[in-house]
Amino acid sequence: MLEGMIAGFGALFSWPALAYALFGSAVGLIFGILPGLQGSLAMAMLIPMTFGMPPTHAVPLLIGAWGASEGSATAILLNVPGESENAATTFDGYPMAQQGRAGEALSAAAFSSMMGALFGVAVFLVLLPVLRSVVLSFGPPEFFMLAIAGLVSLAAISRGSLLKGLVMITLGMAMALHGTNPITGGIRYTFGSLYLWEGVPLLPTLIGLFGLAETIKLMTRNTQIVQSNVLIKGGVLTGIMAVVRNWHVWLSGASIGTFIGAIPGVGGSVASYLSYTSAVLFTGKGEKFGNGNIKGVIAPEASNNAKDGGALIPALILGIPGSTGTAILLTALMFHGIVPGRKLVTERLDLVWVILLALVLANVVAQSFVMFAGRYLARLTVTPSAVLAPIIGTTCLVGAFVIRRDMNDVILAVGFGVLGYVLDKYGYPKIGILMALILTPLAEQSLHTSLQMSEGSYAIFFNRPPSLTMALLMLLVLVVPVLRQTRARTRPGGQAGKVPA
Amino acid sequence: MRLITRTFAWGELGLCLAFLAYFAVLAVLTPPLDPLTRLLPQIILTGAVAVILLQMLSVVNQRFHNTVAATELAGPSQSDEADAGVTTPLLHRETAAIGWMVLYVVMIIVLGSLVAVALVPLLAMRTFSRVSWGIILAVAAGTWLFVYVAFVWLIGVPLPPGLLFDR
Repeated sequence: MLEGMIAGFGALFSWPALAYALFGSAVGLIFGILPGLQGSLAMAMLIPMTFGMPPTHAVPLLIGAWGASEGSATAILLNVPGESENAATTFDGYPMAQQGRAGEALSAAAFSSMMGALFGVAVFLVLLPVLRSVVLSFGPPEFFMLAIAGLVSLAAISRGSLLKGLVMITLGMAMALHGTNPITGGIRYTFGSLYLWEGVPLLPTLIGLFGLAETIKLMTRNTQIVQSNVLIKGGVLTGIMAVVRNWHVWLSGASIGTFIGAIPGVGGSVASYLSYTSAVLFTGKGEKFGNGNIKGVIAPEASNNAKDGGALIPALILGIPGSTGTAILLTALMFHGIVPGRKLVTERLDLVWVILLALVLANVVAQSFVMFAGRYLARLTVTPSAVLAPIIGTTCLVGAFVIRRDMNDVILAVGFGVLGYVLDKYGYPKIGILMALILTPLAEQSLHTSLQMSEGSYAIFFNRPPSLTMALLMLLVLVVPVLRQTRARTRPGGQAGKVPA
Repeated sequence: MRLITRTFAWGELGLCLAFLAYFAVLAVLTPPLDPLTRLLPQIILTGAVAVILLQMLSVVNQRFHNTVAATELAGPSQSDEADAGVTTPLLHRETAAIGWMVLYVVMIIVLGSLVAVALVPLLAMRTFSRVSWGIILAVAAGTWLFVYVAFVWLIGVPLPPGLLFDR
């Protein structure tokens, strides 16, 4: 282990590996900020550049792009998540920006993310010997329970009303039914359109619901994000100290992120949302969320980057990609003649260390940039909205096109932009649509496979310890908010622990 | 607490009716497959119809009682409008904003992305704000440059050339 670590340090912190890592980080940072672009896309684009490079140069370049992808800045400043996993950050991050606390929010998000990434890598190293059996214990019943738990928790803490949350979730689940049936491979609900064969695309939906809806709001409001009588306050130290003071929220978020990241196919959006849910449910009584609570920024951002370290667990140990990013990473590794699995972690430990150190370096570079540029980026919140709106709208529309180079994606994004604006107007939590779009295919496939395994018996979801544990956690998620609401109604002061619309 | 006007309640009811129509169409179009395969779609659509009907009842009930607590929307409120000195009715501004977005897409299709990206922000800023021509031109030029450098030059994405310039 020690020899591998020393070799890894030597390989990464040498010329030109370090230059490649920094270049990849810069590319990943830009991609993360732009709506519609993600770190995994940056990785895919950079793979051709690695042809002819040794693995110790290719890996830092690719990991740099993946790890530095940072979408929290636009989520906080403009209510436009750079990636789907930053959507939960908008709940409290954007209200903080509206209150003139953008600098504090940005630095807290950046520091929480950076420490979350370190946590994920540390967990990977510590648990390396025992992780194989844990990851392999997750089967279709557990995946189904996890998907349902994500949706149930969303409904349970939806602001406004439980019914509105359920409407959004069912709408998202219905939208997820369009396209290819994951079980039979047949086409359903396409209305004769080739465009819907692959289902409702996630990224244009995200761009429309959040980015373009926000653009419409800015154009109708014609003021600025922060009202002129609100001072811009809070800087790097304020945000860092907020994370230190709320270390338990950070730790919870990072733990959830690492655990969820280790489960193949679940994704960062689930991790960040479950982490936010955990902060809402188990925070101190009387605390409100959705109005600029710093914990609502710390929790999801900790899990966002912790999940990268977790995702490396099944990817490097078992060769199972846990996310798009790790799938592209494994493709690149195999292209360079490196097969993930037992051999990689025993015979090429130096390369494993290069991967881990490059991930840490990318996070440090990206988050440091956001932390120290935060007070300058915060100026965006006092820019007149009539100036900001065309810029955001343009970037979103072009970003929607760039994903699949299909004009229909742009039209779809505009449609979702109008829908998102209307949903915001009537207080419907549009995050439900996004989460349901992500989780429904997983739930459907897992349900079908589980029932085939059990020959139609639903007991399979309750006679396996991991699945039963998640069912009980789901019950807890449902019961705790009801108890809190009942107690809150018996006291003056309104509701606590709700997710914004 | 703020009162929500009659207009708001009818609008929300209309939204719920649109969702109900969508779910109903999907329910009718569910392909005839084996029970196991159509299990989850049936559960989803049945649940969706039930939930939306309950929500519609809730909306109607709230309207009759006329004491709905307003959610804290990011959109404009009456007090926001007063602070901003905005006098144009909200519905007109919403229509104009959505209209501009649709126009943007039409101009991308007809004139191409690079022309639309320069032209539409310029016209939108002129329409929606009173900032000076200098700022408008600088922002429009900056946006065009950003899109060109980030998407065309760095990433190499061929943006749509537009029907007028497509050969």
